[in-house]
Amino acid sequence: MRPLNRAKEAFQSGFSLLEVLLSLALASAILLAASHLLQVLIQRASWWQLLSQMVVTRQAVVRSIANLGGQVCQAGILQGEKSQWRWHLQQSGSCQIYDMRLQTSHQQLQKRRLGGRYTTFIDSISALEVTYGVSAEDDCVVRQWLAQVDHSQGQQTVMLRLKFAVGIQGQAPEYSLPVGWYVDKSNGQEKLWQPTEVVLSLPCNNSISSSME
Amino acid sequence: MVRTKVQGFSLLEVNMAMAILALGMGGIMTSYLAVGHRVQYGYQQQQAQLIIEQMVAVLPLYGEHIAWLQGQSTSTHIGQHCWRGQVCDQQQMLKAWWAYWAGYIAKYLPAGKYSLTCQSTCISGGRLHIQISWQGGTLIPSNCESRHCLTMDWPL
Repeated sequence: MRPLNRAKEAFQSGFSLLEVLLSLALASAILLAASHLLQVLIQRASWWQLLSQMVVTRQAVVRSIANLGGQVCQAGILQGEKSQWRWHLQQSGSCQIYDMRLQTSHQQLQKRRLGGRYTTFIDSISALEVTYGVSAEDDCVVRQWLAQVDHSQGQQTVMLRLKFAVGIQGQAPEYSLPVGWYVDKSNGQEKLWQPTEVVLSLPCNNSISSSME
Repeated sequence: MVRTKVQGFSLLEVNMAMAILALGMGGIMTSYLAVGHRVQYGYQQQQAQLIIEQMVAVLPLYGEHIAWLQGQSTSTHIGQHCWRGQVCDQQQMLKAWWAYWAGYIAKYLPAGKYSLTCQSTCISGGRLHIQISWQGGTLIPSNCESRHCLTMDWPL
């Protein structure tokens, strides 16, 4: 009886080689699946973090441009081209002429007081394309959108339509990007860009428009 | 019987442990997905917000034609010439904007659509009501007939 009991105990307290191998295989499969799942979850989470960052950055850029629009102190603009224009802004209590431009190499929107030096106003902005809403009948209603305006058309400009892209640094997700987004890998950095469009209403004064005729 | 209890767990105990583990994991996954949906919702809301802001800037200029606009189709290809330097009358320009917004909303918001209604009248004295709605995740409560929406109304 004793040898039999010993054998029984040994059988109950251990595993066979096959059982051990099968357990190891199962554990590996579970670990593999878990690590893959974890990797996907982390990738998703970092994408959400990037997306939130883009939302915040874009909001800041849009608000900054809107604030700038709120500082315009005279009807119309003085001249306008694809990515630069000249207008009047209220600064330090007086209405002064300011130039705005996109500095493509640094991806910055810059402004300067007439005769002064450019200072950066907004970072991480590219592909700026401004179109000018011109009122054709002196009623402050846009009837024509032009890619550039001279002084006389500028006086009748009542709205600016700014198309640009807002950028953040980060890696694109392995799955597809949201509609319209694109990746730029220049300068050794990977940047994600989201196209954005803002409309700026300018103060409109019928008497100014009429006096131009 | 006593030996069995000492050496291992009963089926009930194992099941209960599994249930607790499943509940915990489910909770974590739900929070995780909720965060994702919340981020996605914020992104979509921003897209809608930008369009609403454009509408606020543009529509008052063409206030007298808004009633006319309500009867028009929202094809996204209308009024393209108005963006290319041609002189357009107020109705053409308004329709070009309308088509542009329709295209933008359809492109950037899942199952996105928008509506414009006037309370009582579409002329001075009435109220203009704009709504942009889209299909979103189910984890974020929605209050526009099971769709997410952004609404705005202002006096004409």
